[in-house]
Amino acid sequence: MAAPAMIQTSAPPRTARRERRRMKTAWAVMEALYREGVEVIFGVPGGASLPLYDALYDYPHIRHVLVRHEQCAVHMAEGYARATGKPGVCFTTSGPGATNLVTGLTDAMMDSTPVVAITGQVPTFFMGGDAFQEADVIGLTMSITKHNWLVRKPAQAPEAVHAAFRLATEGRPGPTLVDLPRDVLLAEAEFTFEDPEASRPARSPRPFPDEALLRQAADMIAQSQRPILYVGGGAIHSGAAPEIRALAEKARIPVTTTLMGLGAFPEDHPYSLKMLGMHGTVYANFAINFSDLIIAVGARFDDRVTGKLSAFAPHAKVIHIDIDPAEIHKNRKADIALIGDAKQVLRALLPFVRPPDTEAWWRQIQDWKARYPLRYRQGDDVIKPQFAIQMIYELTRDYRPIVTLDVGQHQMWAAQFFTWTEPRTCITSGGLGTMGFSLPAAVGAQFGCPDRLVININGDGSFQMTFQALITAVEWRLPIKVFIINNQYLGMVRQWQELFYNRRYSAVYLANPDFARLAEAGLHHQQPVSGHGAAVAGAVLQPALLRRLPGQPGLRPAGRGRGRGGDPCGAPRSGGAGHPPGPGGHRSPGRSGSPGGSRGELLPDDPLGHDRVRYDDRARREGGAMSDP
Amino acid sequence: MPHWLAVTVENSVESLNRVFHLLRRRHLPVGDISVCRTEDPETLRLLIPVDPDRVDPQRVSANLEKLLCVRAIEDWGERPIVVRDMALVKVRAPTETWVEIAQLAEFYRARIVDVGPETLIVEVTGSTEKVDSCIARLQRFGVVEVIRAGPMAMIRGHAEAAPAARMAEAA
Repeated sequence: MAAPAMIQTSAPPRTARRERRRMKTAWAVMEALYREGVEVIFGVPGGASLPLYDALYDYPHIRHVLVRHEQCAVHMAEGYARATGKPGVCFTTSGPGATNLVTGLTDAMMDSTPVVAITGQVPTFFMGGDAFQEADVIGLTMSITKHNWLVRKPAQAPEAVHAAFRLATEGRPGPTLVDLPRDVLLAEAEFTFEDPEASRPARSPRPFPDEALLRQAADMIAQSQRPILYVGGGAIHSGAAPEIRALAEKARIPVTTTLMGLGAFPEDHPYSLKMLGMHGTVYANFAINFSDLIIAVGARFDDRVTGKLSAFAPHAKVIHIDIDPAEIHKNRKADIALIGDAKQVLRALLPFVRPPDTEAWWRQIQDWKARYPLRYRQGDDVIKPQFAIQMIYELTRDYRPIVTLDVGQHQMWAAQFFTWTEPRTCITSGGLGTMGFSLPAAVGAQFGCPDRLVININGDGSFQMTFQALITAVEWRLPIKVFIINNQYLGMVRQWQELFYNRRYSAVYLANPDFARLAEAGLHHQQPVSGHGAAVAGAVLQPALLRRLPGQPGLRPAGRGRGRGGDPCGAPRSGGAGHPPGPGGHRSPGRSGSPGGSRGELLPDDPLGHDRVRYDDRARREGGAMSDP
Repeated sequence: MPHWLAVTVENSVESLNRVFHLLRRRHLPVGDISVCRTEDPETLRLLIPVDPDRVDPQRVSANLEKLLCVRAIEDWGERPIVVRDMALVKVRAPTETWVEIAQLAEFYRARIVDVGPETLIVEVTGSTEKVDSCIARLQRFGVVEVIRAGPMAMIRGHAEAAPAARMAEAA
């Protein structure tokens, strides 16, 4: 019986000591990844990256998830990183493989998500000559990575990989890329492996804010009358949720979060004003605009938050806490800048904080809250999307789900009508607004957190941008729940055409496929919900959610013990079919005598029980992973 | 008088690319940048003039600091510096104008470094304004071609170590 979590025990302890060995560069790269503790790689092989995939074959403890498009690989890596805080890793080949990463890397750059991309490149002697599948990946990704490395000499390869991991997570996190020419990957050399933990930071850190400055900030808080905490994604990256709560409670300050900050402060807390900005609550926007002190934590005064900058919170002073000095004064002049990791800065600040007198301020806020709550009218004829989303929340809240949201109207409704209470549970594309982000991100999140319930709420438009990620999810038996809020339109665009373009609905109608029929091709599905009242919606949504929740055996091997109508995501069919029922985490039925017999060699200690068969075995198998015997 | 940022970067095309790429991407309005060699063959010094009325120099340096190829950034602000620009000016010069051009060069402490059948090359060094003025005066003879190094600058006085060396010491 394997351990309940698929990651923690899957690999033997990493060798951390310093070591010198002779090998091909491709193996040295894999060794470096292994030493960095990489447990899963999302990618697609190709000509230039063949040596790397050859080396991967010798690293069975590193899972490779074959995607159907490289954009999915990078979004999966993002989902993994956002759910776990650890850098997500993706592999692609040169040329088109690498260029397909561009959207995802930009997304990771905008949302400060640590991602390490490893790309194959044409041999050095072909570079610059428009060789087959050559692209200037370093040039293309220069502005969408924190740094990128072209490895020209074998000895630089492991060094570059370690540096890429260090930089991806250090300071303000973000994506990094290592470009590996094929001839370098094939070259043999003597490599020195260092303990990645012992390696030096890429940049020397800035001096931490001194006590005088912290006292000054504390005084500013104590003297304020209408303070507000404005919390962004940086607080989540930094793990500062407890400190934000402590500050809010100590000083009795209301808290509003950005889209990226959802979950950094519990929205069921009386001090929460929920999300602010263009799609935020009325009371959060009133509060920040009438405030006399904004304490910004890991937030960047984005235009979706501020609207017209010159009119934003005109009477407020600003204490700006951010790890990135380039964010200070970028959009809004800060009166006090506390540059550093949000968690550390707040910890240092807390002892000096004295509560200001906010009685009148709170009366005003309570009044706004009472007068302008979030609302919608659910009638008897159709199901309002807000209602559907609220119902998904109500039905899943006890399971503490990780929710990935795509981009558009459903994203904003979910941001509004979920009650976000935990960091790293809302995973969405904020800065770049990448439609197609959420389904692959859900796959990545499920790999990072195999014991959590992962829900994907998607729009019909955004779902179709990357829905090949479904195939990967099914192949790996990931018990992800996908909800498509289907209104047959690119709804957010239509909304703007309605409001600002005289209702000229240009190119927004979607002739959708039958999602249920699509789901039949290997997925468990519920009939589409439409045209019924609220009660019907509940009756249909409920079984979809409850069918396969964590605690039931999940993540079953593909092609194993699954008949037509069986549950592909791991719930035991009636009759049991040899699967251990009931709670107890994810089992490994493949290793506990499930039917189907031996179908290729299961890789050792694979708690998922996934049939990571050797590739040749897999190729020989009848039908492959998607079809049933 | 501009606000100067002296940025020491790795001596490579790639690092120059990264610096210029970043300045362009962030739409940071900076003046004409000169690229100079230093005492260390591994590094180049970029002199970036910033107009504080258009962009906060801090913002420029905070962004540049993020580049791994940037070894050091010195904000010279309004500190007293020596600035030297240099130009080679090729002027149309039939023999009867030689004396006049030589005299003009003398006033600017410029030198004639090449004498061709129809042209002279004048080398002028000095403050940006002086070089500008010299070229302007030469215009009436017919300037064929001008090439300028752009300003090079150094802080006056102080026996401080070079910024890159200080940075290495600090790390």
